[in-house]
This record gives sequence, C-alpha cells and structure tokens, in this order.
Amino acid sequence: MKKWTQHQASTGLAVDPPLVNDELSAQQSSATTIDRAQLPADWANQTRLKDGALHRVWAAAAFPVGGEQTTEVDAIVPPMGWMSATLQIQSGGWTSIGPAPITLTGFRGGNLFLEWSCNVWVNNIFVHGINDGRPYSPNYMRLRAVVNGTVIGERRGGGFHQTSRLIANAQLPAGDLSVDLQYKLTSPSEDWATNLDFSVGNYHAPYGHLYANRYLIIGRFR
Amino acid sequence: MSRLTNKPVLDGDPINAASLNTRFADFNQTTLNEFNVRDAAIDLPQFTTSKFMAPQMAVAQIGHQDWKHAAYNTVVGQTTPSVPHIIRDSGGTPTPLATGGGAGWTISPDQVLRVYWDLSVRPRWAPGNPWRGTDIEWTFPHPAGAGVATCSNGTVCWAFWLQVDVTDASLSNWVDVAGQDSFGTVVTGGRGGNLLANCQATSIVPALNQVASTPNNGKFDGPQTEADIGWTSVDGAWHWIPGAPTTIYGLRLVCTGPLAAYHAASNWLIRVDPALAADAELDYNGGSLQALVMRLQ
Repeated sequence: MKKWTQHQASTGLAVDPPLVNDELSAQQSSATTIDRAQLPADWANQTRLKDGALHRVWAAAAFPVGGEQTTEVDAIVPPMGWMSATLQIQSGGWTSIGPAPITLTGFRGGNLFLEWSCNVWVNNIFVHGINDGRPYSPNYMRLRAVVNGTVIGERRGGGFHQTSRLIANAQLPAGDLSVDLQYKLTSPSEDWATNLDFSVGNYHAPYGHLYANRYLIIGRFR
Repeated sequence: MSRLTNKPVLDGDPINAASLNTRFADFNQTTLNEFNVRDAAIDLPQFTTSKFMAPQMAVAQIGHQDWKHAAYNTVVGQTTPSVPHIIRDSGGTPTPLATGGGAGWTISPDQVLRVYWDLSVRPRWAPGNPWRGTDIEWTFPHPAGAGVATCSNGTVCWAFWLQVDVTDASLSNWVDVAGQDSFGTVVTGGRGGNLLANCQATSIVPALNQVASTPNNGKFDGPQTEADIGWTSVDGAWHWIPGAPTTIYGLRLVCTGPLAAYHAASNWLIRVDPALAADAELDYNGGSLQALVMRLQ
C-alpha cells in the first residue's frame, strides 16, 4: 500500500498555500488510487487496454508514392540510367525525398523510434579527379531524419548502388509530429562532368537516386 | 495518478471551513474510472505474460552457415529471372522461416508484420572486364579532344527480396510479398525487369566498383582498374500492414542478377542484363531471417 508522504500541519507553522496543497496531493495519490500490488497480473491485457495507451506504429511500404525520391528528377538522362538528380537540377543541400513530410498524429509524448530503409545509387565515376581537393574520397548518399525541425539521426549512407537504412530515436513531448526524410549528395568537384559525350546524345550525367523508400515509426508513450 | 480537476489553493484565497472541505471532498471522491485507474496508471511491468505489443516472433538461420567463408554457395548470373535463386543451406535445401509451427500467423489490419534479414555475400566476375561494351557503361568526353571514354555507371547489381506462403504449411506456394515483383516483366527486347515502384522489398548489393582514371575537368581517357566488392553483407527490412486478416505460413529470401538501370517512357526500371550473366557470380554464406507481429496501437 502507499504511504503518507506529507506531515500534518502543526502549531507554529506559517499558513501558506503549499502547505495545504501538498497535503491534498498526498491524500489524492494515496487514498483515491489503487496500488499496483492490489491488481491481478493480467488486469491490463489486450482486450481491456485502450488503443494508443502504450504505443502507436506508423508504417508505409512505399514513401513517397511508389517509394522513389520525387524531388530531383531530371528527364534528360541516358536510357541506361534513371531519371534522377543531376548537377543541372540538384539543390546541393539537404533535400526531402517527397513533396510533403510525414505527419504523426496522436503522439502522446515519450520515445520516438524511426527506421528508414531504401536503396541508393551514387555516381562515383569522377571521384579520382586530379583537381579535386579530396581525391579518392568516395561520394555518398547521406541520409537524415528531421522531426519538427530538429535532426534526430544522420548517416553517411551508401557509396555505390546498395541498400541503406537509417535508425534513429528521440525523447519528445506530446503533440503531433512532422517527420522529414532527407538526403544529400557529396558536393561535386570541378572534375565532375555535367554531360555525357554529345556523340551519344545530349544527356545530363545522373549523380544519385533513391528508391524503395519505406519507413516504420513507433511512438512509445510510457 | 489521478487527474486533477481543481486549481490549487493560492495566495489571497479566503481561509474558511467551507472552501477547504470542498477541496478535500474533490480529492477524496475522485472517481475510480478507466482514465484514473487504467489509461493513466499503467506501464510495462504489468504486461509480463500477455505478449501485448508483439504477440508473435520467430527467427531462422538462412543460407550456408560458415562465417569463415571456407565453403559457400554460388549463384551464377541469370538470364531469365522469373525463377529466382532460393537461398539454401550447405546441402542445397532452401532455408525458409516457418511461422506458427504449421498453424501460421494470422495478421489482422490492426497489426504490422516486421521482417528483418541479413546475409553474407560476395559478388564477383570472371576475369577480363566482362562488362565492357555492354549496357552498363556511359560515354564521356576524352581529354585529347577527339574520341570518347567509357566507364561503368555503377548501377549493375544483385537484388534480394522476400517471398511469402499464404496458402498452407507445406510451404510450396510461394509468391512475392506485396509491392514486390520478381524482375520477370518483359521490359524491352525480351529482357525482364521491374519498375522501381515494384521493388518495395528489394535490397541491393553492388556487383561492380569502377571509376574513371584521373578525370580532369569532366574528361578522362578510360576507366581505372576496377576494385573487387569482396565479401560484404546485405540486409533488408520490410513492414506490412494487411488490408484484411491474412494468414502467413512462411517467409523466404530469394535473389537474382545481374541487373542494371534503365528507363523508358517515363518508367524507371531495373532490368536484367543477360550479356553480363555468363560472367557474373554471387557467393553467399549464412545469415538470419527474423519476423515479428506487432500491434499498431
């Protein structure tokens, strides 16, 4: 059973609001709730507990629609490549993979766990450039997750055509959350070609793409 | 804890019996309702035996278990990927994950199936730059002012994905999981492939790492000698929320390759490259396949 944690007011004490508030609060927690020891072991089971009391899962098998990044899509690329980010259209900074962030409605405060899986491809043809200030440094498709404007996880990402996964978590207060999944390509050097040779067509050189993007997010509220 | 419904006593409040009694009565008569006793007063120690969050879990060893790579299985390049290679053990027997001991797992729309897997792999090629002159090269300007130079575009790869049996516990009726095709749809010239949008359970392993030799202002004279990928790992995560209650009896991992990028008519694809198949091989050893069913909320 719970025990009293506040003493009764005694002679000589000054009269002030916290004195009575503390006593009332102590009484409330002691007299009007049931101690857990009084409950059966399975009293809060699958059929009795309200949805969302403990946790909530948000998942998408493909995000955005089709699972491909849709923000930087250059159509003037060779057939043996994807319509993807090129130097002609790439922003250079962190770029969202879709047109809108993920909205998590009903987050009640606690731990947010995030898994973002995807396949990435990065053009590494020009990494040995002789004028490059960092020759032989591979290019990477860096990944990060931003929740309500704050980065909660970042990863160097893949350097070839390969699978990548970002796992992050954060303690967050209650309230709806906005989750943005972003990527950033390594900045180009002057040795990177912007176009393929004109003998094969007026094609821009693709530099990076993401597809099969999917996520699983779990909010743990207690 | 119980929910507070009255403001606290503040400086300047009158001190009299009636107001204090009212406050004590408010506190004492707090209803033992579901919010005060259940929703706001529970935590995980009270779920010791109920399997509330994750009612089902299973794990299986897959592939040829030998972490020293002393012996391994080898997949040769495929020209028709409609029958992908099934990941097997050292004796050639497929290594699926059976769920529910023959009864399967019935997953409802308020649950999510979470699947994770990993495998030790090594893509390799027969000697002699077998990919030269094929569909995976791009052409760039040559520094001499005339002629061109080529280099692999780096998209050539092996693809792994999941299949599921939703028929019975015999595990003989495998289909690709939702959102995933088997690279068998004819794309062009009789060659199979997938839209990238139909690769939702696909994990990729690069098959080739080739760069240009000392490029200078966007020009180079040829590719540098390629670097082997070597032994590496591939892993995958797949999450599925069914639209209606569905029973699954097993999951397994399959693969095919070599594949490379292609696009046509605004479709982004990854397609089979039969010209490379004869010289492409993939070795693999062991890994694991885990699955769990979890409540959405």
